[in-house]
Amino acid sequence: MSHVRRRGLQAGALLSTAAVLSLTAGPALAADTVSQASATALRVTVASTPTDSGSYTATNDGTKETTTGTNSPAVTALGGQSFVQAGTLAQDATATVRNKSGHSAACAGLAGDGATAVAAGDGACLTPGQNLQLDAAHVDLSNLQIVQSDLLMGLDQQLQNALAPVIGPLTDALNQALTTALSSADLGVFLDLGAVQSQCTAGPGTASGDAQIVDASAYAQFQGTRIDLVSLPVHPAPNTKVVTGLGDVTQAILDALNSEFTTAIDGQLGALGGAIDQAAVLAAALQQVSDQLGPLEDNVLDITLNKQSRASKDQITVTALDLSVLPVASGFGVDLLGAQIGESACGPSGRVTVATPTPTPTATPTTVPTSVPAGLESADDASGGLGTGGSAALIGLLALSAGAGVASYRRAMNRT
Amino acid sequence: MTQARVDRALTGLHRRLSALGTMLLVLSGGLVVGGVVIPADPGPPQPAYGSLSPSDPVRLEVPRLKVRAPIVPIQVTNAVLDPPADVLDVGWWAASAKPGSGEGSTVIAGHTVHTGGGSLDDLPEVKRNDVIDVVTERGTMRYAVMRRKIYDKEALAREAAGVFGQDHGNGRLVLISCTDWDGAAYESNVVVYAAPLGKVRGSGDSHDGRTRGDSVRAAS
Repeated sequence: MSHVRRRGLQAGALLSTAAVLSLTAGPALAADTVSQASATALRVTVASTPTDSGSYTATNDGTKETTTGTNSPAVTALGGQSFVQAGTLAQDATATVRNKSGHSAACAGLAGDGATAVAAGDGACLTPGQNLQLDAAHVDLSNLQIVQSDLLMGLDQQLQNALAPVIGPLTDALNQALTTALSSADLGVFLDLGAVQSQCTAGPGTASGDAQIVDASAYAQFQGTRIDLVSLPVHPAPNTKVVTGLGDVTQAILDALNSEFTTAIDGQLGALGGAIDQAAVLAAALQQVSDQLGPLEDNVLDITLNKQSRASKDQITVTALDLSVLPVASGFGVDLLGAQIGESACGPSGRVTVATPTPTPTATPTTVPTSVPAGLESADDASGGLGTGGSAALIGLLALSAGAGVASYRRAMNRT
Repeated sequence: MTQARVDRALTGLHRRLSALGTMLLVLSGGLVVGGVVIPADPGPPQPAYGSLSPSDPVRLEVPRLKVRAPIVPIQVTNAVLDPPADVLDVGWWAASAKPGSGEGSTVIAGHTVHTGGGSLDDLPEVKRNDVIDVVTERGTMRYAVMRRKIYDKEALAREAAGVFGQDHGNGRLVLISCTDWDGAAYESNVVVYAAPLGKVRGSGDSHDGRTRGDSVRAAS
């Protein structure tokens, strides 16, 4: 029993030793990644549903580079979104080893048709072609309306009294004018860009990244008219914030309503002659529309250019353009949108580990025992039992028996 | 006449032989008495022990325990010194000092068997100054027990370098077995340290512990 337990303990000790040795040797045997990079040209999230161009990754274990994903993604692969319908995507990454040190590079971006993609490691990976329009948001204006009570609140008491007999028909005429003016209105928010791209490099203890925004701007389009909102800098500093609203668009909408409202007011109040200040009524109507458009005048688009984050000094992620449509626009039927254009990630980096050569022993060291399992429950637990002397005696007896057998055989042969 | 002469001659011879015998008897008695009263000079005293050229051990003898056990060489495997599978044998760690060496320690391990029959069942019973003999092919190396110590397994592992290390010891003998039976297994080791006295004089004959049929404990 004790013998079995002792053997079990020894086997356990051996297994434990083997496990420890394998764990110790594991890192040396398993190839560690010494350099790595990845690139994602475009990621779009519409109403919480993401889609992207896929990521192209490169890793190097010190002996070879391994890549996954595609470095020639197609725009058509991004389904379920209307943000981008054409253009050229670029994403590339490389992971190399130089002087036993890991180095990596990546670039990613988006440009219009006709752009040329260049391999990572050469800086920018896109040369612009035609400009590209990205559809960031469409604003639904059908909910705008003139409310009778609100309209009267914007006028003095004398005017309110004068309008009392016709306030109902006037409100209806203004709402009709609103519908007429905006029923066919198409208010969209777009990005116009030549190329947006980022790139990064990383090596032992260092990582850097940058972004280029070529010929890019945000604009709105209302009734076929382009209204520039903001121009984006070509070489933005890291984490450059750009926010913009639709104040200029609001004014365009009011301008469009001005004539329609004037016509409607004249139609309802013209018979009253100079007894009613029609200009005041027009102003009150426009103000009511302006108030409703107020949220769009503030920040609607939140853009971060050359967005950089570092997990360590030798690791960086750069996003050339990070766009989100703020929730305030959701009241106008705008699908909340998030888009990251040109995301490059590099690092971390390591060094190729060279297996430590086994030193040639100069002398065989004496391994001191740390365990002497010299106890047994019974002699049956031992594999022996006869003793060395007993074994020798047994061998002697066997030899004697064999000799006697031979002698008997010879006597028998002699008798014959 | 002739018969009378012969009888006389025989009678004379008998008397002479009797006289010679009496004389020799008296002389012997005188020599005995003289030897007791005047003892002979014993000569210069001889040292009790000589030196032994380091030699592989072949048998362990512990008179108090009535142990006469063959010794077989054993090795350390994964830091474990396993005594011989045959519980009647003891094992000499072949990487330790040979008996007769003035350096290091001669390490011998033997089994303790709970139900009896192990070569070193009674090792904890040795006393200080007990004699232990290790027989080699070149003679018998005698040791005197200096101390006995109990190590639990953790302590033995912790102090292994001190117990078994070969960079010290001055040729001492280290006997080790198990003790502290807990009902299922032995919890500790008993270690006996013995200082070398030297080679027992006249023990230079060849000994072969494997062929003398003494692989059993004398007491059993």
